[in-house]
Amino acid sequence: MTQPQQESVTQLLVAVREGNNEALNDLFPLVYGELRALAHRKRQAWHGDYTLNTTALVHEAYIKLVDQSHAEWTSRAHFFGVAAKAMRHIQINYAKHRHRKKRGGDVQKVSLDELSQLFEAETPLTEERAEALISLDEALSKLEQVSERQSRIVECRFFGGMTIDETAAALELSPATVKRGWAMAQAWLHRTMKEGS
Amino acid sequence: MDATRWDELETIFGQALALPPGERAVFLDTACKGDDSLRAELDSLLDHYEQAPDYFEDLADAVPMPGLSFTNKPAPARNDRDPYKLKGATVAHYRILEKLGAGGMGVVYKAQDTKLDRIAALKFLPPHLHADDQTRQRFIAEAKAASALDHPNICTIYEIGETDDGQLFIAMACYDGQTLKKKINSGTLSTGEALDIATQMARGLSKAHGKDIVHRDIKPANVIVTNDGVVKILDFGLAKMADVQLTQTGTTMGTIAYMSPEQTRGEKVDARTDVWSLGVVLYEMLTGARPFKGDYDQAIVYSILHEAPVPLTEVDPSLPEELEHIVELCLEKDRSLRYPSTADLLADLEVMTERSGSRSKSTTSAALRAMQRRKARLSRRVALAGGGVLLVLAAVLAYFVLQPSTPAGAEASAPEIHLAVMPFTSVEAIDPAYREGLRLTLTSVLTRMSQYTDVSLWIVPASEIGEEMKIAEARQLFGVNRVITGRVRQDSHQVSLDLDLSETEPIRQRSSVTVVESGDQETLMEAGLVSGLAELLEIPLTPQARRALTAGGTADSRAYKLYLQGRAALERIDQPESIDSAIQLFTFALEEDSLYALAYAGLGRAYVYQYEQTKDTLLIARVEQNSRRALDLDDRLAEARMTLGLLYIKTGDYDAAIREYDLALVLDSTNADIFLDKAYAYEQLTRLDEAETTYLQGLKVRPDYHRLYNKLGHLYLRSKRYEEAADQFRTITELTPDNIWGYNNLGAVYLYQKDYEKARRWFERSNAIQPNFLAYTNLSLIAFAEKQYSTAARMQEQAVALDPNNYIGWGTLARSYSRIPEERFKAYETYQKAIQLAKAQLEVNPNNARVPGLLAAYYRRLGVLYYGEKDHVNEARMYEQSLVYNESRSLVWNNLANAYSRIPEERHKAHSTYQRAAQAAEAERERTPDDVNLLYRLVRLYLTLEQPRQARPILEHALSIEPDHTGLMVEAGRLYEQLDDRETALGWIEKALQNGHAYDDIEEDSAFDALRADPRFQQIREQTPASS
Repeated sequence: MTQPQQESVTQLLVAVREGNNEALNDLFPLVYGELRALAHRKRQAWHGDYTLNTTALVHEAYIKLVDQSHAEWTSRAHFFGVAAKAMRHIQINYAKHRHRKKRGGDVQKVSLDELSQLFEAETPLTEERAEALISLDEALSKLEQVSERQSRIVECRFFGGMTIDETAAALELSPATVKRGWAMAQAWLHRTMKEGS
Repeated sequence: MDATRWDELETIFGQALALPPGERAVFLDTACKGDDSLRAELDSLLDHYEQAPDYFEDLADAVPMPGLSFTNKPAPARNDRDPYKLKGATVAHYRILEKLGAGGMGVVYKAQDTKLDRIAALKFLPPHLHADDQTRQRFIAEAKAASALDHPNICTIYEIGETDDGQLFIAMACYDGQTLKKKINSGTLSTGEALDIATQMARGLSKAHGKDIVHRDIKPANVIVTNDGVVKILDFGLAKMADVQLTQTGTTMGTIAYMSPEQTRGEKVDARTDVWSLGVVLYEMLTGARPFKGDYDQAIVYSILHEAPVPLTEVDPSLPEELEHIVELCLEKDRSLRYPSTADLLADLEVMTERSGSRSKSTTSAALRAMQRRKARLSRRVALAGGGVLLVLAAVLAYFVLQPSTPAGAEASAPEIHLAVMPFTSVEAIDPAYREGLRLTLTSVLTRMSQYTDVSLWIVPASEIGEEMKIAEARQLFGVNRVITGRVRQDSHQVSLDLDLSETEPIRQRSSVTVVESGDQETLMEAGLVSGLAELLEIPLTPQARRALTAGGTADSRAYKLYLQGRAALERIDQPESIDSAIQLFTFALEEDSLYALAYAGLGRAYVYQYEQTKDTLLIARVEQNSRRALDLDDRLAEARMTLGLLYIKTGDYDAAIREYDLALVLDSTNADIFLDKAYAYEQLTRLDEAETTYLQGLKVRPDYHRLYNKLGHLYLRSKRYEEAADQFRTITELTPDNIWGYNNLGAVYLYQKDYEKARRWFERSNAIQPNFLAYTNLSLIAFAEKQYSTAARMQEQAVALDPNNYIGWGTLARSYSRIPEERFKAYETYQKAIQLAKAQLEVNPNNARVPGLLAAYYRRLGVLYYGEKDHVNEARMYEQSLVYNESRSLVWNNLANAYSRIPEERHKAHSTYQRAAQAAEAERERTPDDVNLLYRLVRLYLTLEQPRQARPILEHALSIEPDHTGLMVEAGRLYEQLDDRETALGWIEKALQNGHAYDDIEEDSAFDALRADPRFQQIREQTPASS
């Protein structure tokens, strides 16, 4: 028995595998929504101070969203790639939210945002770090202009919490390419964030 | 920035990062090829990379994601953090108190068991170790089996539990104490304590092994020593789960320093694997150092696989010798030679413990007797494995004679299969290049397959089997006792290959197999070929072996077919167009499958051959890019490492070459070519002992390989061990009678001994088989030595026609021309040609020590030619150049000074140049104090500089060696003239003339003007017969 949502995600993944890039765009909101919902439920199930384990979260979303009887390994890899991008958005949104909150801005508007519950970590996100994350996001968007591949690597590694090998599988690259791209992307992003060029 | 440029940037960036920081600048200079903006960009990025990883790791801490590691290594234990954020939480019936530690196997918390009111340690496993249901079930089963182990030296497991959200944990006893790792690091372990800990570990392991549970990850971090001194081994069975991960992703979980050779090869483990690791731990406890070390993972693996550890008593002579033998028996690379069980090890350890307690105890326990037997065997093994050379081998032979009944003797007599893959036949529709490519691949797979079987299996290199060769010839030339023949067929829907394995004496088929690829594929694929071969030869292959044998392959049949054709082209490198077509075919293959590692490796190889032929330095980067790309895609490709090794040899970076070959040997220790090339690199570094050892190691792997004999023979020749050298070369002429190198080298042995007659015969035989540069050059040298200059020139002309890029050929030819008056005019441009080629060589290989010496010689000889024409200006220029390449030769300084003194505008430089010549001559005199020619030159130099007192003792010494040297007598005359002792001066001049010295010399020498005017001189002149 497959649920309708499962069906569509599975189909979209098949389309992605067949080279239909638009399917990626359709996939994104589904994955994003599920990740947020999952994270929210997790948060409520645990009453202690608790931080989400990104990899476990993504994996769970995958099990839930994809019809396992038809799933292929490449689908799983693609899914993780999309999920990494989704995690980037979730986390950056959170950072932006924190940033505004610290500035004393729209406190009212977002005080009930589930994100604040979601990521209320023991080590709080300081204002400085929230700013750094936002600036990373901007730099990453610039990197995307020059090297789509490297920006995807950063999403998987940094925001998706994926290992070199997982990233390689998700993006269909060799681990060595991921390693090299990750190294150079870090250097490039560091420079862009520090020097703004 | 466009995509190509970005890719280029990324490639170079990656390559630079792989280098030690000190070597990056030089690399970047070459890689950027003068592109300043590219260089600046790289410098800036590398600069930022200094801080970037730390910065992002720090930033990631702000993003709530545990377990994220940027360094691709296991995350370091963060004692001050709580990554699972569990502190204070309640999990099942445990209240989390504090974090105890973390490692590759998860995070450990101290917890209060609220049900049983006791303290426990909870280990939470990394989620990836139980990601899917099946793995999870297996994990639980393993952990349960381990929890049933009840032994004082094994950590007690209370339960395997699960949190509400499915996170697995293990609850176990919590001990007060510290890990063995900490204890070792604190450096306070005594020999007694070390022995005690090892004994307790062996007890715990014996218990587990009795229940068929292997630990697999014995290391100090997994051992706790309680405050009461009781050893507790942790994490039984867990490593098995990690191991699955290990082999799947190729990343190592923790330190590999404790891994056994079989683990590094991904083979099945058993109790003896734990014996090995315990041996490593014991070694470390006793010495504080690990037995197998290296700066990077591969280097450690290499050490584990190939190097004998420094013996314990060498590290610390106070350690008992028996303990050394115990450790060595744990650390046998071949597990069949290790202690067969931990119980056996335990027995020996207990004897040691007793002995260290009461020194008088008898040592004749059964365990120690057994140990001594093993020790005898051990010393043989160590000798074989270690760097021992000929003398050691002799001892080994003696051992075989004395102990014929040891199991090792049985091993040696195992039947040897010596096999050749013969040229395949095919139906018409099959491209011959494809057919040949299939044969080459099969041969290469077979060669690598030999490492996965106990049967001694030697494969004749594909390049040795000519297209027309018959089975009888192969038997005769290479002594093969088996051959594989094949026939490629194709019908509308499938390609198939029939393979037959036959004996050669008499020819009789043993087995056959047909490999079929259906489904409209254009070619047979590698996986099918590997299976077919394994079946044909009845070699059982593990999945790991299968993977290794098809490493770097492709699933694209078009790409594979193109690759096979490229391989076939690479085998015909004697034809230059063949390299071009190989390059093209590999490029096409990559267009079909851009991730095809082997095709990149093939491309790299083709470029290195092209570089070898054209010496076009632009090709260097291509070789590196393609080989690195191949390794990026699949780091098991020994072939790509070998290509890089070859490149570095060709460019003179021999240390780098040796590094590549070591890495290649880790991947494929049965490939004799790697030994060959590695030894060559050692030779270039004049590390001759290491070179000899390497050749001998290669001959152990492949005792039938003529090229190893060839190189070893050369090495002996170089060391003036002529008899041994001739033996090697003779073996070659017997192994491969149609191979010119055996004859050439036998000729060279006689040439070195100046037995020109014998030498000439061998070179002529070589040329009769195939005209070649070396034979002609040597025939030319022989003719030159016999003063047959015209013959020498004709021989050398043949030689340079065969290899026009060889500077030595041109240099030798020029020298012959210069001795033939009517051909002397050709010598100038011939030397210039040699110089031009030699300089190009030096540019790409600045380390080649021969080139500068030869360049200096070529310039010097050109100078002498100009001297003969009285063109002193050009003469001086040539000597100046010569001195650029070799500034130590006094002869050249002397000639240069003479030339200066003959050029009015440059005369002022003569005096200081004579001084420089005298200095150089003094330096030479320290090395060869009795060289009369040198002493003569030095005397003349001092007298030219009007330093008679410096000249006098040297002159006297020279005359004592050669009292009849009339030149010295004239110098004596000059010396006493300078000392105003006319009487003695006249005496020496008289003596010189009486001994036949030419009167003209004295007549023309202005230094003797005053002397000649002396009436006594007229008298002498009239009395001297030569004066007429």
